[in-house]
Amino acid sequence: MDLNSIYQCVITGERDRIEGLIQSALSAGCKPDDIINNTLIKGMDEVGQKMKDGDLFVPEVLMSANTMKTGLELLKPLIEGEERESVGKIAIGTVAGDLHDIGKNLVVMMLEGAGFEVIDLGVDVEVERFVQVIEEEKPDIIGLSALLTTTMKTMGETVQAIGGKTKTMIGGAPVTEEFAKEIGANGYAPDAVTAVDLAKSLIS
Amino acid sequence: MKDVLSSAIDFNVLGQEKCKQIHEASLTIMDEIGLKIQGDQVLNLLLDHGAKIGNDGLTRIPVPLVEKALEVVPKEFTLYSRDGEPYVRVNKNNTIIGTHSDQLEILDPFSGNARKFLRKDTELMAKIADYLPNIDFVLSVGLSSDVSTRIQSQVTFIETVKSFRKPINFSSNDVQGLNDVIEIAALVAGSKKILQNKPFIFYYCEPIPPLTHPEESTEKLRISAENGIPVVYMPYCMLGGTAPITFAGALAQCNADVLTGLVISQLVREGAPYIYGAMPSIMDMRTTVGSYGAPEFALLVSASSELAHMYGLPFYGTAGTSDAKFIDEQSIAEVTMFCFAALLSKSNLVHDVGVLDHCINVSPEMVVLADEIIEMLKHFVQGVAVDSEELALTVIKDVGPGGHFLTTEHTASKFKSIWYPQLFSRKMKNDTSSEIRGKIHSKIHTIISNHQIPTLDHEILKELEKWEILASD
Repeated sequence: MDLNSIYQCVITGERDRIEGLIQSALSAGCKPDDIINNTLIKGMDEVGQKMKDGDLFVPEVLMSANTMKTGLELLKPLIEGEERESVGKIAIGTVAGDLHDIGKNLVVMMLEGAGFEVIDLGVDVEVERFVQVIEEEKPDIIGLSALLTTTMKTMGETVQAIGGKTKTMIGGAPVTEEFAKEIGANGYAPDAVTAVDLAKSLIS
Repeated sequence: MKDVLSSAIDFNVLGQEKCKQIHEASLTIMDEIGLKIQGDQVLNLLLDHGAKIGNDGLTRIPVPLVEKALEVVPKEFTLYSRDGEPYVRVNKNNTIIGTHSDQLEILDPFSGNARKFLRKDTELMAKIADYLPNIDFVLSVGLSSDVSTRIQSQVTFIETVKSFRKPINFSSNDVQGLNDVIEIAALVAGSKKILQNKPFIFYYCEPIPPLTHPEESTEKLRISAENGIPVVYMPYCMLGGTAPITFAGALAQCNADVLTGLVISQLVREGAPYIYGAMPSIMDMRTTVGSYGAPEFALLVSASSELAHMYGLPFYGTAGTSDAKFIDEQSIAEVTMFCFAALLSKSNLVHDVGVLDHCINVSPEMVVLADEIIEMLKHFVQGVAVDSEELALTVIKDVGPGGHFLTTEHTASKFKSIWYPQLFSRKMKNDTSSEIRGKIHSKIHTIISNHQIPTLDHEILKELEKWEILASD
């Protein structure tokens, strides 16, 4: 069985084909975590690079991410109990007072596509909810989104309330690197692809 | 009253038949697909008048409600100057153009760098806009980085009204900000009653596409309508992100959101002045930027202008914006394209001139340059008059074949109707390097040192100061 065809399938985003390809690979004796690490995740790394190079566009990247997700859901139950290190766990939401979510949704899909376990808290997420999620779910990272300048303030309050209990990353149209430093967030990403890189670097 | 521009060129993006089809699609969205509308006061008003909430939590607005709103909404109203003089008749024919009082960043005309916008910068923006003949209003937002977010909108408005006499468009961080600015404007006008009768302000608020009207937006609409403050309701949507990727679908959805705002405003108060706004742009699928310079953006804003005019409503357009961060080849091309589109499509209140870096900074230099570009384009959209005087057959006969027109009375009396640029160069022997940026700079310096805005009445200034001290506590 050629694992390369699964890798290619992720890159071309052919979700309908991924299940068949994975089943064949499993029948041929390939190990599930081998498939995850060497085809799915590697495929998405390549997709991320292709987008940065301007060769792939967002809808194509999201098709790849969906393909990856489908494959991952298929394989995950097979490795339950075994020691598999997840890429990472992120809880993410648009901060209190802000109802804009297109950017946050994009980041969620990109992170899932990169193999992260993502808890999407939605919009208008109160400070206490973030703190509660840290206790309940123990995410590696909390992601905060804001479109409004007024809710950037809430972002600062949220980061403060989290107070180093977990790492924080922030984004949104008016948000800047400088602002992230100002409020003590661990990282800032200007777009969804960079957000994936940032999440990976915060975890490693 | 300002002698306003009105394009004489016939220009259609859609035409009647397509406008009608889009209108029908919007009605289907409102009546069948439904919208997410929040805010008990407004929601109850809608339900009392025939709208329905389904088990899915979505509100459906029946066609007769839309038709009634279109019937009772005013098609024309007057905006006044700070001093209470009529400034412009707002309707579907006249075009006035505006820039910003503030932005997240300013492209500093002295250093050439983009930096955080500061409170003191509003005076510069306001003075430049007050001075320039082709800039008629400013949008006061509330983004000064050195002011607390709680009173940002209010403070920007105060700084604007001190240095600007033309009509002021404003938005606010929250509902409180709207109420406060109405109070502040009433202080300047003399009373709330005078402000309502002679509004020199108009409000700006927006839904969240697709088809979501949160409580904050519907409350802002309600308060504006109740106070008789003209209001722009404008969805900013991105094709492929927050709107369908197809032009017609995006226009239909956008139109449904604007009509929903219209129904709300007219249910709150029949005859409340309402301005149709629409900013359907594209989401750049390489970068995820919501573009402020895409040709599709200019096209769809022009198409939206036509939809507004089908309803007889004034249209709040966009022009003079760019995705580029600096004044360069790209930004000048995008600014010019969009100004041309706005004039041709007869957009009526055109906002955002000088906004660069996909809505991150505002450039005073670009505003000065755009003033020249708009003047140039005005001489295009004036069209061609044809009558016996203009045909000039007598003059052609008098001069005769092989003669010249230089010394005719006809030329002498009319040559000044041809446009003579102030910034652009037409020297027979052009200089070895471009002079235009230098001219822009010296114009800004001249405005700063020589353009005096009469100060507000001493008593009013004292009241404004008192207001700010109270609000800062």
